[in-house]
Amino acid sequence: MNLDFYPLAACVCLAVLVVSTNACGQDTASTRPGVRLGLSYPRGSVPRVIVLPVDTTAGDSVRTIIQRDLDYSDRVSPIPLDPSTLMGIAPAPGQDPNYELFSKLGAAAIVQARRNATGLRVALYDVGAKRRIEMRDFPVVTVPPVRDVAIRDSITVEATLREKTSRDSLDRVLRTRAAIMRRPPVKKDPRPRRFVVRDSLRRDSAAAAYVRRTIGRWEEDRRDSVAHATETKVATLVRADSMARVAAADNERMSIHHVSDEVESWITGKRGIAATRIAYVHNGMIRIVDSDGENDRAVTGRGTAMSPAWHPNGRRLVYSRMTNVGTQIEQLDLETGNSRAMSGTGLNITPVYSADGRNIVYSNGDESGTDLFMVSADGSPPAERLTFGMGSDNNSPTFSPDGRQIAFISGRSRFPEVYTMDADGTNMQLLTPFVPGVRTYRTAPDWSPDGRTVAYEQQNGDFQVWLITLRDKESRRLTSEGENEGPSWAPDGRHLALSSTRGGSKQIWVLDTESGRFRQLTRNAGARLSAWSPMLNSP
Amino acid sequence: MSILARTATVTVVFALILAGCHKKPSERPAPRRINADSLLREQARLDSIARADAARAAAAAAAEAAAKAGPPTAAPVSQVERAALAATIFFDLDESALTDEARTAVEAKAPVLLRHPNMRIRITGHTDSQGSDEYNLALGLRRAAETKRYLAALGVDEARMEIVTMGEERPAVQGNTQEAYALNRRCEFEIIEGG
Repeated sequence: MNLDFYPLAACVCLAVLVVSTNACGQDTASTRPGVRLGLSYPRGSVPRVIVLPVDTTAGDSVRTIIQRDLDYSDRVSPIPLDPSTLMGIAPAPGQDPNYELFSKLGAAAIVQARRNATGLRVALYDVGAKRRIEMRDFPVVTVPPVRDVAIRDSITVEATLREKTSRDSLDRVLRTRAAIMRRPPVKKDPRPRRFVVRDSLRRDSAAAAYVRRTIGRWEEDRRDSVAHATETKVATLVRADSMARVAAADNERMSIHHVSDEVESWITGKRGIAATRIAYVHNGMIRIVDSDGENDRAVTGRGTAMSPAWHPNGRRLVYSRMTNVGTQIEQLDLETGNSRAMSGTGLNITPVYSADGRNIVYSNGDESGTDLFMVSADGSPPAERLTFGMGSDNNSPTFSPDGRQIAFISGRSRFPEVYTMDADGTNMQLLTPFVPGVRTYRTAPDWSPDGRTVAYEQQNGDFQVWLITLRDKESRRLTSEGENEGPSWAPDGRHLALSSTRGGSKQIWVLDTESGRFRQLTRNAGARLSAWSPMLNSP
Repeated sequence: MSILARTATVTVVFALILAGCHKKPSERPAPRRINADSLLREQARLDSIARADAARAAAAAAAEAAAKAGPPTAAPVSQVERAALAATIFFDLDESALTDEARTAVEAKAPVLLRHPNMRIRITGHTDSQGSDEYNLALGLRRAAETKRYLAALGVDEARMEIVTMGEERPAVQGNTQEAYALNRRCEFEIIEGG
């Protein structure tokens, strides 16, 4: 088939390229002990990598996750080959791979991951230099199997045993009572023997009937309540078990993303951003999604929540919640799920944590405009006022990575523009190019993690995302298709999350600012106000 | 006064009038022109100020009369008054300044509020869905604040007016057309007490 042939032809072409350009890669002959050399591939190119199959488990296997993470990094290009093809040529443990063959397939590197007792043993081979560059063990959380049937069985057995024990003890009591019932009168019966025997038989049957009747009634009484108690207990345990499994799956994915990020740093020298999440707003709720678009879930309840921002430790969010009488700042602990409202009246919007996470800067609005304030993240007053906008709007703060400066929006020159100031509110300067009298509209700034640029949105008829450098104030337009708004930097300073209508509905997309590649992150029409997390720790 | 001085004065006055002819902001920035339109608009603005002054004087007189007549009675709010009070006002793109139509509508609300001194209202500012959702919250607040200021200038006690913004979160009309945008750039009025 043509479809099969195409990548192969491309691979062969690339293989030739890789082989012929190897000479300009690193000098691998002079390997010194203790010095790790990176992958030898032409600088400036995107190395092509083959990820070998890990196991035969169906579904979203480890290989799929790693391969996709490497693809989404835009620094490495995985060659998507059929796992069954690769199974035959994957090296056995302890053996070198067939470098010539992989070179012909177009690979500059091979990633091999194998399951071991604690997780994954991952190795990276340099095809050009014909050697293993790295090997490391990664702990990976494993998801326990579904235990619904086992839980039901054990609860049922337990209930049956308990019931039997109580029935036995009741039975013992009843037998004692029956024995008393059967006892002949103490006084000697003067009547003929046949009357005495008849009475004795009557007493026996009455006692037996009594035991039967009481046990029967007891069983009748117990049956429904026991069944109900069992069902409740089974349901509770099954729910807890499934939640634990969901959490484990969540952690398993995250630990594999960590593997991808590490492999990427072996290949390119720069850590990837797979182990991150993006918070965004949909339908009035804050949602969180993994960097690869999986594991999308709401973290706040119904309402109108807006403007999520991450704590630098990645475990907390701050956002604003709108009600009919005002808008409040709330903090959400992602581990416990508890949220805490910060006191304040009127309009409180666009909160962000300071670079050290100790303070929150937000915008408070009243009849005399909106201005930026800083308050301790533990909520203790007083709030310190940072801007004096004289009736204008001052909002959407974003900290420089060193925490010393804040970029924000101000309408003090009549139209919204991006300004910068020192974190204490002094030394304010206009950043975006402003021509007096010309209507402009620039909002939603986000300071890049390398500190060099600020991304923002600007109206040019419709709204598009732009970048401006802080040093020479040169601006560059990044988007053109559809409307693109609310940029948020990934921790690599290369990718941006933004809301875009390019696919029809408004969704969160990820833009690689270097290659211009776009990928859709969310599948919720109307998704907006994204915020990219910092690098997240291993679970 | 010499002819020269008089001519100079006339020129200065004319220049001032021209300078006062502030072009109403439109969707796209256009070169500034002085034309019949802007003169008419200026005239309309002056008329509206005059109307507002008249309304304020009338309201003040009414309030004085009411004060003389004794303590305010809780007169029932008529349907006409209710309609005048609830009428939504509309704004231009990224603007919180009241348009002439909006001024007229607000001027119709002031007497109602002055006639019913126990009445409290909530003014809710809204924006269209264009632009930053967050910036729009602030813009909505500015619209509500501007409206409140104008009502206060017409003699309504500020303490009787509460302002809230919904930004672009509660559109009156769905859709991404210019018509929908125009209908969503608005302030809504709601009686929260004494009505």
